[in-house]
Amino acid sequence: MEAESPELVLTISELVSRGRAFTAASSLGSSPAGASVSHSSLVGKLDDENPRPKPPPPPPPRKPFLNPTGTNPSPRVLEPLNRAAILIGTITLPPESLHCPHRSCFQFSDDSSASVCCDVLDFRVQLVGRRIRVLAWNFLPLRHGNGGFLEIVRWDFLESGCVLSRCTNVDPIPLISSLPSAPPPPPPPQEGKSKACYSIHGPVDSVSPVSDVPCSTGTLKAQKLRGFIARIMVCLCQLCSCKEVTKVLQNVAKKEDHRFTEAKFVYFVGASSCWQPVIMKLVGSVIMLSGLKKKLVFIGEKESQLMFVTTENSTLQLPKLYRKWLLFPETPIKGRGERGVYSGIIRGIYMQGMVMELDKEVWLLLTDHFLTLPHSLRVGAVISVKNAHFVNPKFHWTKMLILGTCIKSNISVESFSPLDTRCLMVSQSQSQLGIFIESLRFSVKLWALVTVACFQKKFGGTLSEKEIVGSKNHGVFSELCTHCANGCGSQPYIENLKLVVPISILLHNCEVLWTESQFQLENNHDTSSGSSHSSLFPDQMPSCQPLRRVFSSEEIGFFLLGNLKISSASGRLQLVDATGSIDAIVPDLPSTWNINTIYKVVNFSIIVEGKPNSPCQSELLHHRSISCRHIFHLTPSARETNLSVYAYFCLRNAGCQNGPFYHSLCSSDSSKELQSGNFHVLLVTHKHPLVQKFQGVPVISDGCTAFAEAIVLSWELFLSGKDGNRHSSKLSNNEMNACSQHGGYPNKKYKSDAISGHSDVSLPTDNPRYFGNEQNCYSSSVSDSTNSTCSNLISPEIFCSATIRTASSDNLDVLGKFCTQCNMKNRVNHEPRTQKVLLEFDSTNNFKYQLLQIGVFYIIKHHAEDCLCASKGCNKFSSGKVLVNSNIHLWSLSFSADEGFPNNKLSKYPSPRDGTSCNGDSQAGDDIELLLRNKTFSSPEICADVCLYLPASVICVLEAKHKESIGLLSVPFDKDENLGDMSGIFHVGRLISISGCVISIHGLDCDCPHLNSGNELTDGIPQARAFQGIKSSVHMLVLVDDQMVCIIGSVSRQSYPVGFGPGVTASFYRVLKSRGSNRLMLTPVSFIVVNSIRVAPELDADKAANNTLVTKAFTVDESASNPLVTKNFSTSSLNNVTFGMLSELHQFLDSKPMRFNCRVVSIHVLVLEKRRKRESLNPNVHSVAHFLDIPLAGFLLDDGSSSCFCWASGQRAATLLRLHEELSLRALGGYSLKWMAMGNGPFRSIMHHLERIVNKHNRVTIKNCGPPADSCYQDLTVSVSSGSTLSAFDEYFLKFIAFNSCFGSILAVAGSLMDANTVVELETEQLKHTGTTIPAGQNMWASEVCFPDTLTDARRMMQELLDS
Amino acid sequence: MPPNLHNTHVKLLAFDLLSLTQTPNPHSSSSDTISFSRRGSPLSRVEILGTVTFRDSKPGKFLKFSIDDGTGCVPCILWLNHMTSPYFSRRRPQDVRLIAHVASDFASLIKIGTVARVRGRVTGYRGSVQVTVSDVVIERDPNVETLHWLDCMRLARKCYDPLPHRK
Repeated sequence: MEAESPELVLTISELVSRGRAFTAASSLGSSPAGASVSHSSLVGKLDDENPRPKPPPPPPPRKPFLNPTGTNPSPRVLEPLNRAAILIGTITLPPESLHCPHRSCFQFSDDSSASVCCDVLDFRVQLVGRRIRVLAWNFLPLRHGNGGFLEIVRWDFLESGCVLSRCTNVDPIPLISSLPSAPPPPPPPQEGKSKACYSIHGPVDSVSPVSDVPCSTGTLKAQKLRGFIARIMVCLCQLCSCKEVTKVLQNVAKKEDHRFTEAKFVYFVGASSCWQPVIMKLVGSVIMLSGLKKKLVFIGEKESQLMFVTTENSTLQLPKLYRKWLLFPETPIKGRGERGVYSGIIRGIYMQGMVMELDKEVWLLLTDHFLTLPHSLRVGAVISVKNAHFVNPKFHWTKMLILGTCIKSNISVESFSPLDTRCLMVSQSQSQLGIFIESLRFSVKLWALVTVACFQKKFGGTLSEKEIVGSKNHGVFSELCTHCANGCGSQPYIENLKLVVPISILLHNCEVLWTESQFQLENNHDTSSGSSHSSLFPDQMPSCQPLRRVFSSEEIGFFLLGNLKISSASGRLQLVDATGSIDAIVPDLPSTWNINTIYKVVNFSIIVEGKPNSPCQSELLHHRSISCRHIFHLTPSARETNLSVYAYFCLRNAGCQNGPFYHSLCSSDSSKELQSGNFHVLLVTHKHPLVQKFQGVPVISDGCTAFAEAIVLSWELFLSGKDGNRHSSKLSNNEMNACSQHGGYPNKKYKSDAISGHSDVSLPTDNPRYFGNEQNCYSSSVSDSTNSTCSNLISPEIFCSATIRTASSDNLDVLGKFCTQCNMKNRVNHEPRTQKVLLEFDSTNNFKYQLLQIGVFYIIKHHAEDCLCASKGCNKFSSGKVLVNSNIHLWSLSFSADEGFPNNKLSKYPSPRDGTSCNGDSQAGDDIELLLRNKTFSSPEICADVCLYLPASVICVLEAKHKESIGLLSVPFDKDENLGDMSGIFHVGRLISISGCVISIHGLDCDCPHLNSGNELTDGIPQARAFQGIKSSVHMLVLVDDQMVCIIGSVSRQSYPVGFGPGVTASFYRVLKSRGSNRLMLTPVSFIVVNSIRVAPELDADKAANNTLVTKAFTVDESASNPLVTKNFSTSSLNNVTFGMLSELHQFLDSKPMRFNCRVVSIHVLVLEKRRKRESLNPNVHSVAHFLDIPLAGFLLDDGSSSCFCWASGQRAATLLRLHEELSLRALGGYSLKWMAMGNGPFRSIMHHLERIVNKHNRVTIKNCGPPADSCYQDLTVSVSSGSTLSAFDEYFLKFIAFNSCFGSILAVAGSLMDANTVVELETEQLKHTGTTIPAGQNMWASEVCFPDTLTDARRMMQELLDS
Repeated sequence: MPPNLHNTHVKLLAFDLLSLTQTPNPHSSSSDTISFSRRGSPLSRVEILGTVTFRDSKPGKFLKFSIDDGTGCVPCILWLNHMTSPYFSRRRPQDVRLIAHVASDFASLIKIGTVARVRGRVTGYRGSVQVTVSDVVIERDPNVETLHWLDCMRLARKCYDPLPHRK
C-alpha cells in the first residue's frame, strides 16, 4: 500500500536540521498491519479519559486535544507533515561513546550517516541491526546528543522475506559478534572459553542501568568495566536444569507450569553492555542466555554474589511460544507498598521529572536515580510501570495513590504521546537534598517534593532546582543485590505530614472550605443563616451580611510560612510570600519584629468572610481539595474573589525559620539598648488613620507619614542593666507604717521606698478636648480615690524590677528605678508634667506605627538631643513632635503589681482582657488590666516587651492616668445631656470614644461594603486597590452595652481594620457626637480598633451529640444584657422540632429530638477544662470562649410534667449554666468585693474567673452529693486535677456558678432520649474520671439549648388547648 | 393510674394549689407531717408564677410573701435562718454561707409588684397550703405569665389528671 503512494523519504539529518517537532504518524489508517496502537485510537483514548468539553481546535489540520496535564494550558498535537513520509535506516544498540545522558538509547541511523536516539513500539529482537522502513513516527528535537529523538510507531523490514511472527523460535543472536559496529571486545576475562558453558533461561525481572565499575582482578586494575545486571527468574525443575540449550528449549515448551522463582543475576559486561535497552524491552519476557560463565563477584569487601557473566560467545534467544510471564501474582493491593503494574497516561511531569501525574491523583515518583527512563516519557504518553510500589499515603490534605519506583522498576511506553510535549531529560546530578529525598519512604518522598515545590514557589530562587535532583553512579551492585533486604516493599504510613503551601493556594483552599461549609450550612438549615443578627433588624438587614467562618490550623492542615510585612498598598500587616499575601492579625507582635525574618506559623486560625450565595463560589467546589498539581504547577492569578481571608495567630507560637527563634527585639543592639539606660514613658492616646493621598496610590509610599498621639508621663524609667546591683535601702519606721497601712508590707526582693505625706503626683488633666466626656465621668472618682489611697505613698524614686522579653526564649530580669520628674524642691507648687506629643512615622518606619496600640504604654530611650528632653527644659509641652526614625525604638510596657503587696487586689487578677471599657459605675481602681489594653489575645507578660513590677500604689496612679486619657464611654448618650451649641452647617459636637459590638454595617451608597478584601498579589495589582480611597457613606449599628448606637461616616476603606464587620467588638476612637441626634460620626481622625471577632458556630461543634440540630443556638450571646435581643433570638432553629413534655420522653425512643420548655433543678456533675486544641480567638466572644471548655455537664431538668437528666457539653452546657447571664453580686456575699464588675458585661466577668481557675487547675469537677430535686439544698463538692488546693473564693465561686444555673427562667432544650448503650458509653468514657455515675431515670442529650420565644409558645399552646 | 409526680415541680395555678388534699402523714418527721395530693396523685414540689402582693420580712429568720397569679394568692415562706438553724449544722459552714447568701438574694428580689417564678415544697401552715421556697426568679418578660397559665392548663389536662378532663 505504502509502496504505491508517492512517499517522501526523509533523512535524519534533514529532520535534525529542521529542529522542529512533528509527526508522520497521521498516515496511520485502519490498516492493522502496523504493530502499534494507532494514532486515532490513541486520540480516542485520551478523549475518553477526559470528558471535559474539547477546546476549539488549533489551526487545522491539527486535531483538537484536551489538556491532560494541567501544565500546558493549550497542549498542541504534534504538527503533522503534510504528506506521507518515511525513514529508512537501521536501529542499532547504543555505542559506548553515546552522548545521550541516558546512555542506553537505541540509535536510528540512516544513509545520511546521522543517528538519533529512538524508541520503538512493538520491539523485536531481530530489529537490531536490520534495515527498516519507518512508516509512522514522531520526531522531537533534543538539545543534546544527536539533536533529536525518533519515536517509531510503525515499521517494517526493508528486505522482503523477513516476515516475523511471534511463534517463530528466534535463532540465537550472538551478543557481541552481532554488533556490526561494535568496538573490539575487551580482552577475554581471564578464564578460558571452556568455562563459558552455562546457560540460563527465564523471564527478565529487572534490569540495572549501565554503569562503570572498577575491575579489581587480574591485570585490569586500572580499567573500568562497563556493564549492567539483569535479574532473571529461573525455574528449578529438571527440564530447565538441563545443560543443553536446544533440549531446554524443547523441554520448556512441553511444560507450561514452570515456576520461575529463583533469582539469578546476569552481568552483561564489556561490549555486551550495549544490550541493556534490549533487555529492558524484554522485561517480563522469557529469554534464554547461553554461553555464560559463572563468577563470584565481590560486593564491597565482605559480601559476594555468584553471577553469570556474559562472554564473547554468549547468545540471546527468545524461546518459542512462551506466554508472557506473569510478573506479579494477583494479590489485592492495599496501598502499603505492594508491587504491581500500573498503566496510565502521563498527565504532567514535574520537578525535573521526579514526579509524574498519571491519571487523576495517581503520582509516579521517579526519584530513584538508578532508574532508566526513556526519552519517550512525555506528557500524553501511555506508559506501563512494572514493579511499581503502590502506596496510599493517607495525607489528610488530599487523596492520592503514589506509585513508588525503585531500582527494580521498569517503565515502558505503550503508546507515544501525540502531543507536542517535551522529552524527559533527567539531569543526573547529585545533591544532599537528592540523597535525602531518596532516603525517604515513598509517601514522604512525595511530601518532600511537594514541600520543596512549595518552597520554590514561595521563596523563588532560594533553592536551586539542581539541588533537588540527585543521582550518583555507584553502588549499583549493592543497591540491586541488597535491595530486597531493605524492605522496599513495606511502606508504613507516616502521618502528620503537614504541608507548607504557597499562600495563593492557601487562600484558594480557604475559599473552598468556606464555600463547602456554607453549602453544608444551607443543607442543614433551610433558612438562610447568614448573620446571627439577622433576626434583630429584619427590615434593615439585607441578606448580604457576610458569613464569617473560622478554620483552625488543624482543619486546614498546613503550616504558614512567610515574612510579616506591612502592605504598602493597604497599610495592613500581612504574611507574605512570593505567591501572595494574607492579612494577618497578630496581637502579640513584638515591637521590633524583623521584616526579613521568615516566620513559621503552626497554630493559627483563618477567618473567611463573604457573602453567602455568591454564584461564583459554587465553581470553587469543583476544585475541592488541594492537589499536588496545583502546587507543582502554580500560576499566580489575580483572581477576583469576593471573600476576605485573614489569618489570626500569636507569634509566641511561631518561630523564625531563618535566624534566631524568638525576635522580641529586632537586633541584639536594640536588646542591649533596652537593658540599661533612661527611658521616657509614653502612653499612646490616639492613632491617626493612614492618609491616602490619591486614589490608586499605595497607602504607604515614599514620603508618606503616619501620626500617633501620645502623652509623655511625668515618670521616667531607669534600667540598670542585667548585672546591676540590687537596690536596697532600709525602710524607716514611717515607711513601714505607711506600707502596712496600705495593706502591704515591704517587698522582700526589692525594697520599695515609700515616702509619706506628699501628694505630688496628683493627676494632671492634659487636654480635655477629646475626652471631655470621660473626664466628667471619671475624673472626680478617680482623682479622689487616687489621692486618698495612692498618692501618699508615691515617692519620687521607686525601685523596681523589670522583665524584658528577649530574642531568645529566656526573659531577662533587670533592676531599675521608676522616677517622677517633679522637682523635689518645688514640690508644693508642683505643676505635674505630662507632655502631649505627636509621634510622626516616616514611610520606612511605618511598621512602628502599626505596632502601636492605643492605650498601651511604651518606652523610648532617652537621647540627649531628643525632642522629648529638649522640650522639657523650656516647659513647652504643648506642641511636641517626635519623629520616629530608625534610631528610635518603641518598646511596649506593661505593669504588674509587685509581689511584695500580697493584699493588693490588683495583683490577684493578672489576666488577659482588653480592658477597653471603664464603666462609670465600676469600682475605680479595680481595672489594672486596662493597662494591657488591646492585649486581648494573650497574657500580658508574654505580650509586652517590658513588664515592670511596681507597687500597687504606683499602678493605681498609672491606671488612673490611663483611664483619664483613654477611657471609653459605655453610654454615649445621656438623657439629660446638653448637646452643645447650635451652629450652622458644620457638625458640632464632641469627639468621644466608645466600644461595643458591631451589629450591622450598611453602605448607604453602595450595598454591603466589603471591607476586607485586602488580599493582594505582590506581583500584581492589588485587588483591593480599586476599593481603596473610595469614600463611601457607611451606616453602622453598634451595641454599646444595652444601647444601640448608630455610627455614620464617610471614610476610606483602609481606615477599617482587618476583620472589621458585623459581629466584631470594636473600639471607635474620636467619633463625633453630633449635635441633636443619637448618632455618632466617623471623622477623618477617627480610628477603629477591633477588639474581638465573633465567628459563626462550627458545624462540628459537638461531635458527641447526635447533631441533627446544628448548633446555631448559641448566638444568643448578648441576650442577657439586652432584653430586645432576648426576644428576638428565639427558637427559630427549633421550629421544626416537635414540642413535647418530659413525661412523654420515654415514648420516643427513635432518638428523634424533641423540644421541651424546662428549667434546671440541680446539677449532677459539671466538668470544666482548659481548652486545649483551638487557639483562643477572642475573649469578647460571648460563647464558651477561648480558654474554657465544658466537656460534659449533667443537669436535672424539670418541665412540670416530669424530670429528667440532661447531658450537654460546650455551648449548650454554658447556656444551661447561665454563663451569659447576670450574676447577683449579693449572692457572692462577702466575696462580692472580689468580684470585679468589668466593663464588658457579666459574661466576661464570669468567664474571666472560670478561665483563671481552669488555667490554674486544668480541670475542675463539680458534683452534687445532695438530693437532686432540691435546687437550693444541693451539696456540691469541687475537685481539681492540678493537685493544688482551690482558694476559698474559687471554690465558693464555682459552687455559686453551679447554684446559679438553677435560678434561671425557662429554657428551650432540644434533645433526644439516650438509649441504654449511649448511657453506658457516657458513663464509661466520659464520667469515669469524675467518679460519678449516671443516676437512674431518663437521660437526654441536649442538642440545642436556647431561650424560648414565649409569645410563640403561648400561642401554640393556646391552639393546642383549643384543639384538644 | 395516677402519674408519679413526687419529685416533679408541678405547675399549678393558685386555685388548684390551694385546694390540694392534705393528708396527715404519721410516718414523717416534723416538717412533713402532712402529705399533699391532687386527684389522688401525691405531690410535694410546686412551681408557681405570679405577682408579689404581700411581703413580710423578718431579717435573719424568714420572709413571708404571697404570689397572686390571678386565680388565687399563694402564701410562701423563704427561710433566712440558715446560719442559725440546726438543720444545716452538719454542712460545711462555707456551703451554708453560700446557701444563706443565695436565700438573702432571693429575699431582696421579692418586691411587691414584681412577677416572680417560685419553686418550692408544698407545706402546710395552720391548715392551709403554703410554699416553702427553694428558689425565686424574677420574670421580666410579660408573656411568661400567660405562658405559665396555659402551661398549667396543658399539664393539668395532659399530665396531672389521670382521667380525661371534664369540660
